[in-house]
Amino acid sequence: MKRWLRFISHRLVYMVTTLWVIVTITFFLMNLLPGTPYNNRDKLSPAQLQVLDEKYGLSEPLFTRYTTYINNILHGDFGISLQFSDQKVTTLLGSRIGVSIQLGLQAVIFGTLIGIILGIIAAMKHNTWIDTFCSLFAIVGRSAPNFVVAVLLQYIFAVSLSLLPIGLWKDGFSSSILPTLALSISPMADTSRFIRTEMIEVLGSDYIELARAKGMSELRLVLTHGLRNALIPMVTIIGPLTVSLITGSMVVENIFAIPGIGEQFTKSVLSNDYSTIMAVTILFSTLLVIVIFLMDVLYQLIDPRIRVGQKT
Amino acid sequence: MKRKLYSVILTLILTSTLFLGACSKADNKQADSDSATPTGTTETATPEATQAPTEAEDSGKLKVLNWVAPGEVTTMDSGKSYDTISSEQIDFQADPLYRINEKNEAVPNLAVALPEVSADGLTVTVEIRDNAKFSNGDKITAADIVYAAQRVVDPATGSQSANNLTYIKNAAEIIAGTLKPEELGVKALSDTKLEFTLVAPNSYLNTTLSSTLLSPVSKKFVEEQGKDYGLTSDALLASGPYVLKDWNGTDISWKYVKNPYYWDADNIHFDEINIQVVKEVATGANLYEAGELDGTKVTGEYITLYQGKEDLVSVQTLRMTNLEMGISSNKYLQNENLRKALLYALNREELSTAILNGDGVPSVGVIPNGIAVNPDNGKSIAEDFGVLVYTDVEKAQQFFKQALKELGTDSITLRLVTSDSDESIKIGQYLQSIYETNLPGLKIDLANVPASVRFEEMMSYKFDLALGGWTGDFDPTSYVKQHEEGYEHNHSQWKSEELKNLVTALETADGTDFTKRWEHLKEANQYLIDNAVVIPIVQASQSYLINPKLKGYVTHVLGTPIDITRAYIEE
Repeated sequence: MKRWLRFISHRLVYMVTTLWVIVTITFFLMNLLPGTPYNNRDKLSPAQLQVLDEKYGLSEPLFTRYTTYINNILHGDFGISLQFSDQKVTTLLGSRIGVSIQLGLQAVIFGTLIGIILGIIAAMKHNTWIDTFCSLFAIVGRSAPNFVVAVLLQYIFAVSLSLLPIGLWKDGFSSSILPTLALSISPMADTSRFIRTEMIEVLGSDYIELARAKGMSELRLVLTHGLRNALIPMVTIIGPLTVSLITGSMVVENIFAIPGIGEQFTKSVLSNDYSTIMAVTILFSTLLVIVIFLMDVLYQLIDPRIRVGQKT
Repeated sequence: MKRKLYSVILTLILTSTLFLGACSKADNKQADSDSATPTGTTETATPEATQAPTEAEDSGKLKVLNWVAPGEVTTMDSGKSYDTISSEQIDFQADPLYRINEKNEAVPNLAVALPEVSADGLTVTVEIRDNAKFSNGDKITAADIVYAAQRVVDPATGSQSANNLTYIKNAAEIIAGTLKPEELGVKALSDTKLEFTLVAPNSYLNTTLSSTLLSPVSKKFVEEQGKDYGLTSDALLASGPYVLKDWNGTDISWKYVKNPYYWDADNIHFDEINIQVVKEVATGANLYEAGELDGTKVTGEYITLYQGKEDLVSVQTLRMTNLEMGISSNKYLQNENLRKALLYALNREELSTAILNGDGVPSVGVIPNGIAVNPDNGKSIAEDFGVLVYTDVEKAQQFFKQALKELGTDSITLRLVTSDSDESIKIGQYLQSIYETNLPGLKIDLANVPASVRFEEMMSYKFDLALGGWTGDFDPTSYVKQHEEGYEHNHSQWKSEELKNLVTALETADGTDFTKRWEHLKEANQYLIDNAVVIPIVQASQSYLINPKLKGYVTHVLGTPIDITRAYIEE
């Protein structure tokens, strides 16, 4: 227990330091971007520009702005977005992140589950047409850009077959099916390829041969021995994958007209919307840092050989 | 156990065949629709979908319109709006003094008659309705318009549109912080009488006063809401035909309900207007075809696809796309013949039809067609000023040969900077190919950069060529003023006494003499083309797919492209 406490407190210090470094670097880099956050910049006179800069606190020296910003975020004030009628950035992200999280989690769960199944089947039917089919699916799924997949899904299931909504976020779960599918293709492909490789390796190892010789059924062999060992390296990729999926996808959100936060990652940078750039950076890195921490915990739950707090 | 595994495999195979089956079925359908309409693309909706009833018909009594917004609103505050997306939304809920009709003329709206102007053109009185009310039932008075105007120029508001009111006395000083907002040249003479004091006579006053920046704003309400004013639908008061509902400031869908207190409520036909943000044109078109939207914006290939159908409505805008030249920083571009070669080597017709698929029409000159008409005979810019920019490759080649000779070189390389939007990239590539083809010896290096980077380059005045543009509002002067010496957006840093005198005359003495002003505009337009100070390319248009049953909407070049506040569905 003590070992755990020490592990967690150490990691907390690391996490906070990492975040602080990210925030600082992003803050200064972002201010190197040319341009201003004012959309109507090409009609503003120098006097007006100054008035606006003063109003939004952009006329201060950079370092003062930095310290003010850090002080503000420590007090929970993340600033306002100039692209969204001076709304608080927390309102903007808060009202939208739920949708992105829902879609992201659905896509991760669906994608990895199907991916694992495809991977296992491919590994068990190694070098048969089933394997080839699964590999082909993985390659296509990995390389097809998600705007192609999304448009195709929309065309087939919504426009042609009228089975699901074309877009808009108003029909509850059914609105989320197509976007989830579009988002899950890539994790599905990744997982199936990964599991296949791992499983082939594991299934060829001596202890599996032994278990097989002892007469264990093939399915039990695969699920209890094979899969468990193959899953350990999966944990490494599934964490960051989840983070990138729950922070939304601009392409998929735009195609299905869904109020997620994916677009903010690119739009805020292009429009010099400083507070939003910082907020999405903090959001993304916090999630990532937490997920990495959880993964480390999860590792040793899956594999008792890995122990926290040990040097090696 | 083994059976379980097989069932898993079986399920998977079945699912995949279903998927493949769906593919092939869709393919067949695609083939069918292809044979029916040769222009069909993957996104074409099936014919059945067209017959789907709209929600308006379904809901019986309640009259509902489903409309699109091409992006989130940057603001719902009538005093802060500066872009088309938000102006379109503000038009629903803020009532302007005048509305623009289909002939681009101002007609009385909240005002009862056209403004009365004093002999020197500097004092303007406007009489407003005494039966107008805000959506909370409060009476609208002249003081609410005075407050609205003061609020726009008040630095504390931070309105990016404050400069649009600099025609009013003291506005510029208030914006710069040297005078108090209360000193603005707008006064309420009584509850219904307003008096504007202008900086100079303004011949476009009637249309200028149609801006929603001058829509009434309740001081009491703004002060009650404090910092939250305009941030959500609850923190807004409507003076116009509809009241905003269910908007939290960052939403991608919201609605308007009819304002029961509106003075013209009898002519407002919808009980509800649902707005949905759809950024992807293809998605909008699909939703339109499925009957989920009564109107949507389209661009490019969709314009081609719907060409000739009654659903397609295209409206010209005041957005001029120009090729700007860094004349002060590039010695080659200081050669007039080279600039003229660039002016005539372009095929604007080909660009707007084949490359932009109808997202724009060829420019006729520096001043956009439609912004104003000859005050004496009503002739348009194109008719009266003439089509000054056209294609003449032979002429361009002669100019280019002459330029090379004068510059003592046999090849010229110019860098063309454009923003990285799809349309800008397309135009950039077109310019590169047409110039390199038509003017052998000219090489164009393309640089597609984020819009802000392109803008900063132009503002540094150090660039070769840049794809720029200008969107004016009501007064054509801004299009020629852009190239005047000393104006900060004169990116080419062109210096000319002649032009300066023209602009000065336009901004001052000409205000009361409409005929003379028109002559000066014509001269300035001609001057800019004769000297090839800027190369006009296309005048943008905005296209919509609109339910053919929707009637009563107005499209115009001035203001927002389409006004659907008085629209209705014909049964």
